[in-house]
Amino acid sequence: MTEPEMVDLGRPKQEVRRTPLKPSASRIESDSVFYTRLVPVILGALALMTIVLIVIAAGVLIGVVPFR
Amino acid sequence: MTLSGILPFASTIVMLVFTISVFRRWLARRKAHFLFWSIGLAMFGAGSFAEAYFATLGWSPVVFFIWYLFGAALNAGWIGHGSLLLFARKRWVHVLTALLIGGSLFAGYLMLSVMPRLDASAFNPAVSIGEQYRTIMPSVSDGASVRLTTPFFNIYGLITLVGMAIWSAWLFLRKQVLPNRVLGNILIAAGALSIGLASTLTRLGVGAYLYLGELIAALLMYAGFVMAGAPAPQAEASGVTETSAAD
Repeated sequence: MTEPEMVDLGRPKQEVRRTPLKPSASRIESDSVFYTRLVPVILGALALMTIVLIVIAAGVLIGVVPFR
Repeated sequence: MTLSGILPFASTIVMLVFTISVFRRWLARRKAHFLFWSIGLAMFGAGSFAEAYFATLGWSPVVFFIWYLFGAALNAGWIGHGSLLLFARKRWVHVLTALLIGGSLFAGYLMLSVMPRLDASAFNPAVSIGEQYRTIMPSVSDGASVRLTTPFFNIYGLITLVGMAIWSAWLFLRKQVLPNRVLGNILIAAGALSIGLASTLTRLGVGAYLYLGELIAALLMYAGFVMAGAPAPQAEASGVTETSAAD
């Protein structure tokens, strides 16, 4: 058994110790130019290339794009 | 050994290591997407091996069967379906799984039926098989219906593999977590597009970049898989870990 804790109402509550948010390898920095500017452009370019390839493949399939 | 033998041989080695790595994950976790990925990657590796074989040892009808069915027709669809399974676990996905397996078996049957009509005398070891297979195989109108199935598997594979990798990278980027998975998925998408672009150029008559495109695809996708699958330092982003292409 443990003794019941005595609460001193006049004493300020013990503050919960909070560690400041450190930059972590699992978080993307919000001010990173690479992730906020470059990566969205790369993703857009990849998506555009995908659409172009799909359109060409569909064109080959229906005989619109010449196929050697 | 010439460059046209070295490049696909290097791709084969990369894909072998990649396939074993993914298959071991399936053995450890028993998640269906790892199984579909490893089957698709093994098909990719078999296709690369067939190209190296043609460049160094010459013609073989069995190797041509492996090259066309697994290397040209099916692999993208199977890898892409693995990515779809990672995202969607609804009943309609099981229908797609059944369609993929049934379609692959049907393509195998069509390929077997065209085998007696291959023109082996048209084979030229100095030219990549991707550039000359149309002279070896009969046309669709002459009975090679298997060639009609190839665009369906490739379009499906492109949409699912590249689409899911881009979507996955976008989700992590939007939530500002797990940069390794953002970059890993970008590499996977870039790798898949590299082989898609090289294949499209070959089909449009520019076949010089096919083997290089395959090697770049193998290296980028493997690097992406390793990067995206690296353990996160902290479990801060548990809400989105299910959407990684290398989960």
